[in-house]
Amino acid sequence: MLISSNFIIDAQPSHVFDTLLDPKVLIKCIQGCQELERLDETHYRGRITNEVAHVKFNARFVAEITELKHPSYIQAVLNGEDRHLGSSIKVTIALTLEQTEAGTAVGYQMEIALWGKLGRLGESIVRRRSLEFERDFIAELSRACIQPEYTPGPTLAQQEVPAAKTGQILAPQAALQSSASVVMSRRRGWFARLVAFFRRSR
Amino acid sequence: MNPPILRPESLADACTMLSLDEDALIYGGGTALQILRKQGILSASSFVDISQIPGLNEVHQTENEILVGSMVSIRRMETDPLVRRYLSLASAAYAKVANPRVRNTATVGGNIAHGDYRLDPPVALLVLGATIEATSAEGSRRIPIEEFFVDFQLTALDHGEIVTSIKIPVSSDIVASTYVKLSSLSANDWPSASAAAAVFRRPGETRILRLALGALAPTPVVTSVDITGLRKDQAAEAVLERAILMMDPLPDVRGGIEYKRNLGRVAVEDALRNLWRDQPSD
Amino acid sequence: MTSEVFSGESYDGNAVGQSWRRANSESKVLGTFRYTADLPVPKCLYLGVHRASQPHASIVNIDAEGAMAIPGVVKVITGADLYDALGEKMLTGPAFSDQPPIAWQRVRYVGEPVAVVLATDLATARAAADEIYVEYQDMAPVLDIDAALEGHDYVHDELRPSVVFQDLRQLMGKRNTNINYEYNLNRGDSEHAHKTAATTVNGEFWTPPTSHVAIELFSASAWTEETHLELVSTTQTPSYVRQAIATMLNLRLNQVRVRTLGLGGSFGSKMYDRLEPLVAAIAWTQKLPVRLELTREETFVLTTRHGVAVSSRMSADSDGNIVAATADVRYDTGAYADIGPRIAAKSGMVACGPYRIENAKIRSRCIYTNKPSAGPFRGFGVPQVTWSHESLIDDLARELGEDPAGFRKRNLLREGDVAPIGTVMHSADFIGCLDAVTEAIGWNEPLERREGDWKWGRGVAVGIKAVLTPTVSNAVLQLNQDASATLLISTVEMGQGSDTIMAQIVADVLNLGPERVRVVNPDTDVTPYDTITAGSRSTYHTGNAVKMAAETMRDKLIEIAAKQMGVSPSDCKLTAGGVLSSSSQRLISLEDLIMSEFGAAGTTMTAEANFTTEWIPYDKETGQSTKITEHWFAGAAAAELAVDARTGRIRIRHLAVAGDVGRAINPALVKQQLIGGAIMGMGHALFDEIVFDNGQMVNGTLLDYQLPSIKDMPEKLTPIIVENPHRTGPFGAKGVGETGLIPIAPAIANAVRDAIGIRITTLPLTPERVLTALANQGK
Ligand SMILES: Cc1cc2nc3c(=O)[nH]c(=O)nc-3n(C[C@H](O)[C@H](O)[C@H](O)COP(=O)(O)OP(=O)(O)OC[C@H]3O[C@@H](n4cnc5c(N)ncnc54)[C@H](O)[C@@H]3O)c2cc1C
Repeated sequence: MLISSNFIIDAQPSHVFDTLLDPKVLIKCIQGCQELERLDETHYRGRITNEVAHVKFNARFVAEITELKHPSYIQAVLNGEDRHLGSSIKVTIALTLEQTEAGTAVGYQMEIALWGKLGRLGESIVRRRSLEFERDFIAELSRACIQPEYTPGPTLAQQEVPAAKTGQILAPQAALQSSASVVMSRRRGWFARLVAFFRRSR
Repeated sequence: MNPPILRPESLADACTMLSLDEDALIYGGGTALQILRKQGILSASSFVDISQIPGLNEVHQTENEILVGSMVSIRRMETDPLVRRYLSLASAAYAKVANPRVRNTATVGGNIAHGDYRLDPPVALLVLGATIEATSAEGSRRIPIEEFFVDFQLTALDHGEIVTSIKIPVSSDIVASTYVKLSSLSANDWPSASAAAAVFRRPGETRILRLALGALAPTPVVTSVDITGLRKDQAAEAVLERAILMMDPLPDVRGGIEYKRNLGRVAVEDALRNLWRDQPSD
Repeated sequence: MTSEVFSGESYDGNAVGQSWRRANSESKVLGTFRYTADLPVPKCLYLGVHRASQPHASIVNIDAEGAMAIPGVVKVITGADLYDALGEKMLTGPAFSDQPPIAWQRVRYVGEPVAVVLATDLATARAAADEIYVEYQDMAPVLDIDAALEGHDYVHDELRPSVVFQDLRQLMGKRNTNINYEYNLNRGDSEHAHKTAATTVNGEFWTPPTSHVAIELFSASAWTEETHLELVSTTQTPSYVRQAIATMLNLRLNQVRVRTLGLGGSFGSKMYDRLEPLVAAIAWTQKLPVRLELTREETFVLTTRHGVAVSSRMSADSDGNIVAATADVRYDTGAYADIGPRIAAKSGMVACGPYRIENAKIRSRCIYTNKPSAGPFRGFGVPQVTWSHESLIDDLARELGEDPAGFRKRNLLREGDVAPIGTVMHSADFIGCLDAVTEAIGWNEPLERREGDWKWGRGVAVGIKAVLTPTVSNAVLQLNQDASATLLISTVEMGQGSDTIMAQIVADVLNLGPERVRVVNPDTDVTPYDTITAGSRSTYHTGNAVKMAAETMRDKLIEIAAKQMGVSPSDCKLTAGGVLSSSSQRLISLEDLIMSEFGAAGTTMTAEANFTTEWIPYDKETGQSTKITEHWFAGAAAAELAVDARTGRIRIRHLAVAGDVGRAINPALVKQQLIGGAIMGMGHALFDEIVFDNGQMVNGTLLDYQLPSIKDMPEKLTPIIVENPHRTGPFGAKGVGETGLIPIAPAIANAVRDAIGIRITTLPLTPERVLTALANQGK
C-alpha cells in the first residue's frame, strides 16, 4: 500500500536532513520504537512494538539507506519481522526536502508491504496506524528541529481531545496544527494515485 | 494456543481476576474474540467469561430510561417489546448487526467494548445519549457515550473495567428517528457508512437534530444541529454540511476514501428523508 | 423453488428423468452426515504448518529449537528433510512437477509451508508452528502478470513439466521465463479480416482471482500399514492422488490406498495435489501416522481461481456477420503451475466465443507469479475468457445498432457448424438457451426506463465450454441376491448429486426402486479408476460406464432367467417385478433368480464397464483439431437489473439461466446446479474477489472476503433446462456443474451497460467501480 504526504518544518533543509538521520532523534519520532542503533553510515537496526485491537506486535528491523542526496533526498528500505506472529514488513521510503518560504517542505512516499498473519488484519488498521505514526513523527521531528535541546513531550495522541465529542469535530490535521508549529497538507490526487497503484499491481 | 476460560460467579471475583492479570480479556459473547483467536493473532493469557455473573442479563425500565445489562444479547435488543417500543432507534440499529447467528451470541457490552468504528449500535446510542456503566477493582464509573470512543479501536475503558450496563434515556422529545446502514459489497456485510438521526422537540419548540455517523471516521461521531425555524431544505443543507465535515473515512477493501464519503452523504440524505417522512411537516 | 420429490410408491421403473430426492439429504440437513474428516482413523500426530512471510525469498536458516522445546512436539520437518528422503520426486503437480510439499531452498508465495511440526495434539502443533523462526534472504518478487512478462525476475529457475503429459516435454529445462505454457490458435487471416471489416471493437478485460470457499475445510490423514500407505483425504481426485503419491514415494499402485467420503463442497479446490503429498511424504518417510486439518485462513492461500487478463478484438462485416476475432489471454497461475497450463490451452481456446468465425487468432499463456498457486475452479478458466468475448460481442452489436440477442443469434454456432478450433458442433444448443433466457425475462417487452436514481437495464450472454478430453471412467456394479445393488465408482459426491443420479441410472436399467441402489464411497482399494470428479464430466463419462455396467448386468440376468425358464433370452425382459418371459408370461423375481443360480442367500453378481474418450491433439501452430473434445456445454443467461446512480449498487431483478444438458437425469438436481452456478457467478460479477497487496492476500478471511448472502439474491431467479440429447450420452445426458456459472458475469455487465451506457471491463462490478465510472462519464 502506498502512503504519501507532505508537511512543512520551520527549519533549514540541511538541519532537517541531519536531524532525520540522527538515531537519537529518530527513536523518539518513530512511535513504539524501543531500540535504534546506527550500525554504519547507511545501516540502522532496531525494534518496534505496538498494539492494535488486542494484537500486540514486536518486530525487529533493519533499515538501509539506499540513496542519499544532501540535503534534498533520502531513500531507504526497512525490513522488519515479528517472529511470533509470523509476519514481515517491508517499507520503501522516499523523502524529499525542499526549501520554501515557510521552511522545509518534506514530502514522503512510503510503499508498505505487510506479509503474514498481520497482513490479513486489514488495510484500514494499517492505514490508521500509519496515520498516527505520521502524526507523531511529524510532531516529534519538528520539535527536534526547532528546539536545540530537545526533550520528547507527550505524544499527540495523548493530548488530543476525543474525536467523538458532541458537536465538535477535530480532524487530526487540525489537531496537529494547533499542537505543534507544523503545517501539513495532504497532497491532492492521493486517491487517484492509489487507484493507479492498484491497477498496476493487479 | 487457546487461553483458559475463567468463569467468575460474582462481579467482584471478575474484577479481581482482571486486576491480577494484565493480559486477561473479558469474554462477552466471544464473537469478536474468537475470530482473532482463530487467526492466531490474539495476545490473551486468559478469558474471563462474565456470563455466570447474576444480574447482567436483564433489561429494566425506570421512569426515564432503560437499563440494559451488558450480557443482554443483541438479538434481544432487536426483538424485546420494551426496547422496540421505547427505543425504536436503538432497536433498529441492533437489528442491523451481522446475521441472526451473531446477534444471538454477541452481547450489548461486548459490542460496545469491541470499539470498532463500523459497529451499528453505537451510532444509535450516540444519538440517544446513552451512558456506559463500568466497574473494575477500583470501583464503578459512568462514561457518557460521547466520551467512550476515543480513537481507532480504542475505547475509554481501562484494562480490567467491565461494562456492566448501558443506560439509555427514553425521551418523549423525539418526534422522529431513523437508522440507515449502507454496505458496499455483500448486502449482509458490515456497514461502509451508517447514519442514525433523531429530531428532538424541546419545550419552547426548539428543534434539535442529532446525527451520528458510523464507519466514516476512526470512531463513530455525533453532532447536534439546531434546526429551529428552518425549512426542511435549509435544515437538510445545514445537517449535510456538518456531516461532511465529520467524515474522515479509512480506505480498505470495501472502498476508498472518496467512495465512502459519497456513501456517507447518501446515508445522511436517506436518514433525513426518513425523518421528514415520519415527522409531520411544519 | 420447489423441487418435485419422488416418492417410492409411485415408482414405475423409469428412474431417469425423475427428480429423485438427493441421497443423504436428511442426514445432511440434520447434521449427522459423515464427511471425510469424520471417518475414523488411527491415532495420529497432528501437523502444524509454519508458513512463509515473504513472497519470494531463499531460506537461509530454519530455527526450530523453540518449537521442539514445547511438550507434545515430536518432530519438525522441513523441505530439506523431505528432499533428503525423496530427492526431486518430492516435486509434484498435475502438469508441472514444480511444487514441493514443503518449501525447499526457496519460498515463492506468502503462506507457503516452510516447516511442519508433528505434535500429539492439534493445538500444540499449531502453537509450536508459531515458534519456528525462519531467516530469509529476500528475492525480487514477481507480483503480477505484467511484471512476470517483463522478464527481469523469475519465479522458477527452469521449467519442469511432469512426465504425465507428453506434449509438455519440449518445455523441460527451459530457463529465463515465467511463461510455463503458451497455446496458439490460428484460423484464416485474422489480421487482414480485422483490417477490412466494417466495424471493430476491442477491449482490455480483467477477472480477478477468487476463492472457492467450500464450506468444508481441508483435512488429510496418512499412515502406513505393513506394506502400504493409507490416506484419507478431502479430495475430488482419489485416482489421481493415488498415482501422484505412488510416483512420489516410488511405490506400486497397490501400496497406496486413498479414501474419501462425501465432501462439503469443493468447486475445484480439492483437486490434484493439495494436502496429500505433504501428509503422505511425512507418514511414509517417518513411518508415523499424521493428520493435517487446515483453518479457513490457510484454505484461502491453498488454491485460488486464476486472475486473467484478456486483450481482445472482434470485427463484423456490414451485414452483421462476425468476420474476425483475436484474443491475447494471460492466466496468472501463481507460484506453482498446478493445472494452469491445461486451463490456458483448453479454456483459452474458446476465447473467441461460440460463434461462426472464419478468422480467429488466440494466444493463451499461463504465467508464474509470486502468489498462491491458482488451480481449477468451477468453469476451469472459461468464465474469465467468456467475460471478454461476451462483453465484446455486446459492444459489437451495439456499434452496429443491432439487438444484442439477435446479433448473437445470427452468429452463434449451430449443429454441424465448424467451431473456430476446427471441431464440428453437436448437441450444443446455444440458440435454444439464448431464446429460453431472453423469453424468461421478457427481453422483447419494452423496459420501463424510469427517471430517477435507479437506472434499469437488460443484458444477455452465452457460454461455451468443452468437456475435458481424453478421460477414463470405470464402474463396477454388484447385484446382491436380495435385488439390491452396490455401485462401485470413484466419482466423489460433493453436493453435485452424483450419488443420486448414478443410482438413478442403475435403477432405470435394472428396474430397481430408489432405496435399492447404494453408491460406495471412493476407495482406491475398492472402487475403480476414474480420471477426476470435475469439469462437469461425471454424468456423461462415469454415467456411461455405470449405464454400460448396468446393461451388462441386465443381459446377464436375462440370460440366466432364460436358462432357468427354458426360453430364449430374446423372449425375456426385465420388469419392475423381475424377469418376464413374454411367451410364457412367467415372472422370476431377481431374488429367486440369483438364489437359484448360486444356491445361497446373500450371493452377488458383478458387472463392470469402462468408458474412455479420445481426442485428436491440436496442431501446435494452428491449435486446430477435428476432435478437440468429446462434447460441448452450452449455456446462456439474461439479467434485468437496476443500478443505483447514487451508490453504484446493482440490484438484480431477474436472472434467468439456461443450460443444454442433453437430457436431465434428475431435473430438480439440474435446476439446483444451474441456480448454484448462477449465484456463484453473481458473486463473481458483483464483489467476489481476492485482493492482493504486494503479494499478500489482504482479504483472506471470511470477515473480509465477500460472498453473496441471502440478502443479495436476485428478486427472481429462473433456471431453465434445455434438452438436446447427445448421441452418446447416457440417455442423452451431459453434465451441468459449470454451465450456470459461465455466462453470468457478462450478462450482468451487459445489463449494466444497457442501464447506464458504460462498459466496465474489470470485474467485479463493485458499487465503487460503477460509481467511479459514472463520475468519469459525467466529465
Ligand atoms: C461475521 C460477523 C459480522 C459482523 N457484522 C457486524 C455488523 O454488520 N455490524 C456490527 O455492528 N457488528 C458486526 N459484527 C461485530 C459484532 O457486533 C461484534 O463481534 C459483537 O458485538 C461483539 O460482542 P461479543 O459479546 O461477542 O464480544 P466479545 O467477542 O466477547 O468481546 C469483544 C471485545 O469486548 C471486550 N468485552 C466483552 N464484553 C465486555 C464487557 N462486558 N466489558 C468490557 N469489555 C468487554 C472483549 O474483551 C473484547 O475486547 C460482526 C461480527 C461478525 C463475527
